[in-house]
Amino acid sequence: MPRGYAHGTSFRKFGGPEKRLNLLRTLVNVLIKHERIETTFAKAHEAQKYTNRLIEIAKRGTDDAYSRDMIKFWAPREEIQSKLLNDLVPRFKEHKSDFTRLAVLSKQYCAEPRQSFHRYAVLELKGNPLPPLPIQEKNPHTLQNVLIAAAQEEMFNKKES
Amino acid sequence: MMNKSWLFSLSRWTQSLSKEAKCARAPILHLSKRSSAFKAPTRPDLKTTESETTYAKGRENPMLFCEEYIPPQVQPDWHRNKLKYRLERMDCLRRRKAFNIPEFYPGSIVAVTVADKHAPGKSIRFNGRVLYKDGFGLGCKFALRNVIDGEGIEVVYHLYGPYIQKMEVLHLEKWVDTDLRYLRDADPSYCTIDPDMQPKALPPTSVELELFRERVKLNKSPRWQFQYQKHWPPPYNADFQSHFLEDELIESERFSAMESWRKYDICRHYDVTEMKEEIVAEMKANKSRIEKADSTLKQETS
Repeated sequence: MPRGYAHGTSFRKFGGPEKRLNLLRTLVNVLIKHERIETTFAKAHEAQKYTNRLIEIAKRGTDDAYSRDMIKFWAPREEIQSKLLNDLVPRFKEHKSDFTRLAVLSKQYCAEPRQSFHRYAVLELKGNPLPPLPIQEKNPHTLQNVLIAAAQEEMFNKKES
Repeated sequence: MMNKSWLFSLSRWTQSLSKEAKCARAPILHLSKRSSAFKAPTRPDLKTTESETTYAKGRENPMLFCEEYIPPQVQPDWHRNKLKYRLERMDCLRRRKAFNIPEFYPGSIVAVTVADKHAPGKSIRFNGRVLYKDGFGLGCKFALRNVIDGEGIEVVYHLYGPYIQKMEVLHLEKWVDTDLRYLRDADPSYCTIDPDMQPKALPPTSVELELFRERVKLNKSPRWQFQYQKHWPPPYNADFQSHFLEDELIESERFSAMESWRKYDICRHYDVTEMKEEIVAEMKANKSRIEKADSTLKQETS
């Protein structure tokens, strides 16, 4: 958990605010380009938040001055900007909030810059064309999930009527 | 005479007919007044619909949405207790139904009459320029500043305080900044307001308010209440760099460069567009909820 998560600051430091934003910007751009990346868990967790937020902003469209500024900063290169607006926004049109998936790997030994064990993780965009990750998704056929789905449908129909 | 009696008997006969027969025959009969089926004309609907007033882009119906209905930002997002916010918004609506709180923004000139048992006439009237309007729900406070006989006076009021008897907007203005406390260190002409100032004509709600974009020059002396050059974002309506020397300018630029990353940190920004739709839908339902609650209370007490 990032330091101070329980007391309000839910962000990691990464060597300073400007360095942090530059690091996250590169991660977000690379994720948009390749649709699946492997980094340390901390970087992947932070990049996940920023990609979700960036896609939310891009969905609003380029009419808004705020969204134009943010897209210009977070996706400065043409190819990534065009991919974001022309490919990802229509892909996630009906998706509400979470557009990424984070899968955790085992701890790996890093000899440089210092001898330490880092937990690695895989961050991918949903709906990517690569072969699926061997993650245990929720089984929709267990008794609990069947009952939960039925209850959700009932709530939805109640709201509509 | 003969005709009348004939008509009377004919009308009697038609009345005795079944409904189906009447429809099938469709007779053209000149019936007398007494027996004709009188159809009263429909009453005109004099009730006006609530959605007649249209609200322009920057202005909203205060019953549905206001700036103080937005809860304070809490990170991470799921730490919020939404029930508390919903109850407080309902209480705000209760007060607004009983008392008309007008629409105003930081920078406009407002006059407030407040109940005071020790005052002659049992109430005090004070007018001034609004410096800030801060807080969530019933705790929303705003400050008025007026310079009387060369002495600057500020009074802070609660927007939903029951001790407020009357609130008038004398001049509706909207500045780009929401925090105008630097006017304490500026030319006092911005805050000297005649206590007997007459209210100017309010623009209708269908007209968009133009933002006030003039820049106020602060005093030359460095003894300001607040170090505006070290604050980010720098205020739009304040011009504090005109009297600066070179090293002061460099220092202020260094401070702004240090904090300028906040402009692009999208996860720390407070996004209100989704929340606004939820709040408007909630407030529409709150009216009926309040009526229900009040009616059940009456039943219990009576």
